[in-house]
Amino acid sequence: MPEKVKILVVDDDVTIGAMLKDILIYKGYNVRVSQRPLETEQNIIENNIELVLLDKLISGVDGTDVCGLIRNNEKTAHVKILMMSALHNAETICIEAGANAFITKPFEMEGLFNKLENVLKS
Amino acid sequence: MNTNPASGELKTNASQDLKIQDLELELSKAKEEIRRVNLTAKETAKALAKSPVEIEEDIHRLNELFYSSPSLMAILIGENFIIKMANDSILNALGRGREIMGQPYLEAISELKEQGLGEFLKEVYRTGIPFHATEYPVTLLRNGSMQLSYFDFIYQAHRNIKGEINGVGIIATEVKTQAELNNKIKESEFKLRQLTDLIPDMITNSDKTGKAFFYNKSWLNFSGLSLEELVDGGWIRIMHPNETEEFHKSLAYSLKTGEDFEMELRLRNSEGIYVWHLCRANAIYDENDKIESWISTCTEIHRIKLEEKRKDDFLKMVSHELKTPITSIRGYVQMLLSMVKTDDAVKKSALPLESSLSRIDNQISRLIRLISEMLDLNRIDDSQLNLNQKTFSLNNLVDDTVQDFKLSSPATIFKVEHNCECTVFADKDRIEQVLINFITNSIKYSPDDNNIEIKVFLTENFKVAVSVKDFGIGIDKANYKKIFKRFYRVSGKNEETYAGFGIGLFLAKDIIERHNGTIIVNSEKGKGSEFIFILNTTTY
Repeated sequence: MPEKVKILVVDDDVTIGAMLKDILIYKGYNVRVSQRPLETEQNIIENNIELVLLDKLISGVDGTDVCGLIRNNEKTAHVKILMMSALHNAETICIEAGANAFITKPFEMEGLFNKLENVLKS
Repeated sequence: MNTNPASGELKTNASQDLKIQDLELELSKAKEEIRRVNLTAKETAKALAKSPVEIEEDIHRLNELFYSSPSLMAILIGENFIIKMANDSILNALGRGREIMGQPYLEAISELKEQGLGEFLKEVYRTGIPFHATEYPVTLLRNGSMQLSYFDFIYQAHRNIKGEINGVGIIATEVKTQAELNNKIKESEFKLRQLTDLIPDMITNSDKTGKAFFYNKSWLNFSGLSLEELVDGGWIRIMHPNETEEFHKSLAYSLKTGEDFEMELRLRNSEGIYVWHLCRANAIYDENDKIESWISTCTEIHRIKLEEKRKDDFLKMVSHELKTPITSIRGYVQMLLSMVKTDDAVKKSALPLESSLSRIDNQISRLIRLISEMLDLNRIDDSQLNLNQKTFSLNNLVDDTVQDFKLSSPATIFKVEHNCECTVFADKDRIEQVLINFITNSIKYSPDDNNIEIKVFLTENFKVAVSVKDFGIGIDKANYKKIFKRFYRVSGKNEETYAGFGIGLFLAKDIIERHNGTIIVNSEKGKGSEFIFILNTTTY
């Protein structure tokens, strides 16, 4: 893998954040984890993030709002966003909010990798 | 024999004998005649002697028969139909008294003339052909009002001794069953209306085209509209606009096919609030199996509907909450599997077994806790949540619990304060459950602050208490009570911004109340919350 793709995971569940970090590092990505959705834009800019793995339901904050903020910010609008949720029927809302793709929790590890690659290629 | 005196005498004697014989014959004839005349005279005399009494009796009998008959009888004389005789039965039925005697029938009871009965009388008077009628409707003025009755009757020509028609006789019976039936129908309809007014469901009766002509009292009460306004299509106007299209479609289908109509829809009450109703309509068929009318009912299902939604949301959250730890477990398991299978020796040697397995183990504990909470809900319902009380140190429990949280939430900064040494007699696992719930909530509802303060202390009454304080989003005072309700969750701008069952505090309250304790909430929107549980026990 030439240059490691920089991924930001935004999820309020500590364990899911840690797990995603472990498996994405194992796959060869450069990973940051954040439990603070409102700092996402800043995080993207400061760390030169290429893809955000964004949870839909973060304590007190709706992931789709965060998604909207990223898309409306000139400096972050270009970033790829893969949204995820354990809520069923959340896909349409997330895509409408500006996400490139959506994945349902719990997911297959390979399924997640495939989605990530597809989104990065698109 | 010659003629000589002797012989003449003889002759005379002989002729005398003959005369006697004749006379005797005559006499016997006369006697017979007398006897016969006598007999006739006797009979005549006998007949003559008894006749006045018998005639009187005959008349009496006839009168008796006539006047006391339950049948309605009258004799009308002459072309003007003068009422010659009329019994009480007919007078009662006609609603008149004896004053009409001697008056022309069609003038004394003028309503009969208006109803064309005079024509029948005249026809019978003219032709002598009797007129029969059965269950003939006649409206009569009785007790000051026009009343419809039904009669079986005969108009029959009345003749004098010479056989000439000199009037018309009436024999009639009032067909009471019809009238009684009508009354019963009226009474039963009244009772039905009363019944429909009493039941809380809203009921309408519509014609076969679906146009309602009857609304019960519940409709008027609910809508605040008058019957006229409702009949004028008012109830479509109070339907929620989101449901009118489907309503019209379903209704048209039912009207066309006769199939039962059923739909859940919102109707606006007199205060302008939309309330969920279950509306049903069923066709009523006539004897020819054709739709005669429709009966519809609207039953309020608002509370059921809200409860249903809350349960739906609850199930949605249950599924979300159960899937979250499973996501982590699956991620680690698949990563480890992938590492085990790899040919890359470097990767294989770097298997993060211990950290991965301990996280998996943690998530399994979380799953077990979630499942237990759900089971507890059932136990509360069945009152089977029993306490297993023993003596333990509350200080140690708090320290142990915080220690566990420090592992699972490394970002959170805990400040623990022990103001007293508290040994209590209580259900340790249940108290721990309450504490975990308080701390979990504090973390969950403080997205922008990491600090949590926990304090073990004695109240003014020396009761043992534990407080958990955060600096998160806080709660409106108006919602203090609601948060202890089953399935209630604090909502952000969008309903789904917080995960969770919404049963944690409900269970916590139940557990503390079973210990005869209380839960106190101090909170300010935007500044944070403090949850305190007080056990109804002093320290040992």
